This record gives sequence, structure tokens and C-alpha cells, in this order.
Amino acid sequence: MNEDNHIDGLSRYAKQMLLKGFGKAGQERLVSSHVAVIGCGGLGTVISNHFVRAGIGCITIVDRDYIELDNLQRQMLFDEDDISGGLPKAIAAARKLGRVNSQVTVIPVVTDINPRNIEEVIGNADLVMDGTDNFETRYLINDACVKHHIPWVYTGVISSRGMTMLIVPHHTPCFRCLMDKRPGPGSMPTSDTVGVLSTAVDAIGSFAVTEGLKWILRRDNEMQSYLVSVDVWRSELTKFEMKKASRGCPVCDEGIYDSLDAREETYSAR
Amino acid sequence: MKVLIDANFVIPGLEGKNEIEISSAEVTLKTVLEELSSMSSRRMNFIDRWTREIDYLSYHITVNEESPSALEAFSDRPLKDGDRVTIRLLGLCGG
Repeated sequence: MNEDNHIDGLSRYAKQMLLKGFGKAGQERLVSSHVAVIGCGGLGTVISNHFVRAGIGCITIVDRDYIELDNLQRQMLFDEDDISGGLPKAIAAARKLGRVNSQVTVIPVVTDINPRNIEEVIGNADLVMDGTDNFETRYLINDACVKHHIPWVYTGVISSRGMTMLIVPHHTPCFRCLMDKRPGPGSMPTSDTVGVLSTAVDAIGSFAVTEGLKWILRRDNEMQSYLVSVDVWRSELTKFEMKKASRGCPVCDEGIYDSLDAREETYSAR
Repeated sequence: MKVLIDANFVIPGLEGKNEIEISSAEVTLKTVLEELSSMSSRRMNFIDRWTREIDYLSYHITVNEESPSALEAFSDRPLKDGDRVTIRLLGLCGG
């Protein structure tokens, strides 16, 4: 371990602080911020890795699952030893990230995120990052974040494509504005049905973290409310300016939180 | 003829408008989608350039709230004056 980095807490971020609009003030803001990452699979590992290396002050990582061999193709924080050790993803990620940057407080939470616990889990967060793999949990995150005015970054990936969007409650369209009709179970392709390319996960996870960093640094004039869509196989990047729900959004216009109010349901955060 | 457009995102070239006018005699859904792509300077591609069919993995498209029943035939569906084409960008599920 480099003792100098411990003595001078910010010197390890020298290259980052050189960036226009970042600087020491931006780094200090980042160090005093708390991010919650819901799900620690492909996206969650990329997102957590970047935030910890960037020097977020505190990160909560929520996932109930254990690491399996076919995770290693894209879940960047894990290795074969983690499988042998039988560790939950959240714990393995916390241990790995603790070795990357011991200045960051990493809080692993081994649980299913659900309507009963989500408000407590994200309650202290300045920003919530989506590392989940299903829409049900995203509707739940959206409900909780809109209700408590916590910005969050939606991210999804499949095949060679990924998309991400910063959602700032009552300033940008919310996730329910984007997807007003809930897709039926099994109606949308998943990595289990059509596969996923690790470079797509890495690319869109990096875009998502960048959106999160921009929000934390409060660079409002550069804060985009665009949905960014990337297809790494086709080398295509498209920006969509999303609209608020045309007929009024039940969540961000009317304050109806269907998913949050469904207290008996259980969701998967992975 | 005029075709009403309802999208959940802003289509470049169609900002602030909710209809396009097409002068062709026979207009199909594919005609309209190609026209919208052209208006956006190809920044939006509703027709997959490899399959030449509607990009159903990216968009859910209906005509007068009618969903496609036979995917391949749907893009050839004739449109008439006043028809409403609804375009929804689909979210990606995986993580």
C-alpha cells in the first residue's frame, strides 16, 4: 500500500482533479458523497469499481446472490477464488474494492431489495445507481427515488446494446414516463435469452457512472437529461431526448407509488 | 396526407410538431418511418439497416393503437390521412 496516498488523501486523484470542472473542490464533493448501487452483477461491478476508484466517500452495494462461473465473463470485480470461497457478491465486491481504495467506506448489503427495505437502504444516499437486471426492481427504485427526491441513474444492457439515463425527480422524465406500460414477465429479451457482450456492459456502465459523477459535481449546465444508447458491435451511439408522459405520469405527477406500496412482493437485486 | 406522430422522445427534425405530411400516393408505415429517419438526418433509425424491417428490439410501434400481429407484414401496412403512429423507445432489461 502506498503510504503517501494515505497521508495526502487526495493525491491519488491527481489526474482526475486536473479535469476541467473537477478540481479539488469537485474531488472533495465526491469524497463527501454517498452512492447506493442496487445489484452487483455486470453493471453493478463496473459501476462500483469506477466510483470507488474515483473516490466516492461511501458506497452501499446491495445484492443477494452468490458468484457463479458464468458471471466471470462480464462481472469485473470477481474471480475464481471468490467462487471457491462461496462468497455473496456484495461481500466479495466489498473486499475487492477495499483493496482498490481503502479510503472509501464500502457497505455490503446481502439482501433482496423490496418495498419493505428500499427506503431504508437508499435513505442516506445522494445518488442511486441501477445495477439490476429486471424492470420490476427498476419501477421500485423509481418509486422510492421520486418519493424521496433522490436522483438515480437507470442503466440496462443486452446483447451488444446498452442504455442509460440520469433521472432527477421532478426535473427530468422519470422511469415510469419512459415505460408507462409494464412489460409482462418474459416479454423482453434478457441476457439469459439473447446473451450479453462484456464490452457492452463495460461501455454503458462507464457512461452511467459519468452521468452520476456529473450530477454529484453539480455541473448543472452540462447535466444531460438525454437517454444515451450504445451499440458497441455496430459502433453506434444515439442520444434520445425523452419526454415526460403525455397523459400525466402516475409517479412523478400524481405521487402514486404502486411498486413501493406493494409491500408483499419481493424483487431481485442482481 | 398527414400522419400523426406520438413518440416518447423528441425526433430530431420534428421538434414541437406532432404530425408529418407525406405527398406519396401510397403511404405505408415503412414510408413514414423512413421519412422520420430522414428528417433526423439518420440519427434515428426505426428500420433496421441490416434486416430492412422495423427494429422491434428497440421500438414498440403501433398504428391507431393497433399492435403488429404479423411482424413482417406490419411495416407494409397502408396508412390513411389522420392515422396515428405511436413510437415507444423500449428500455433494456438486462444488467
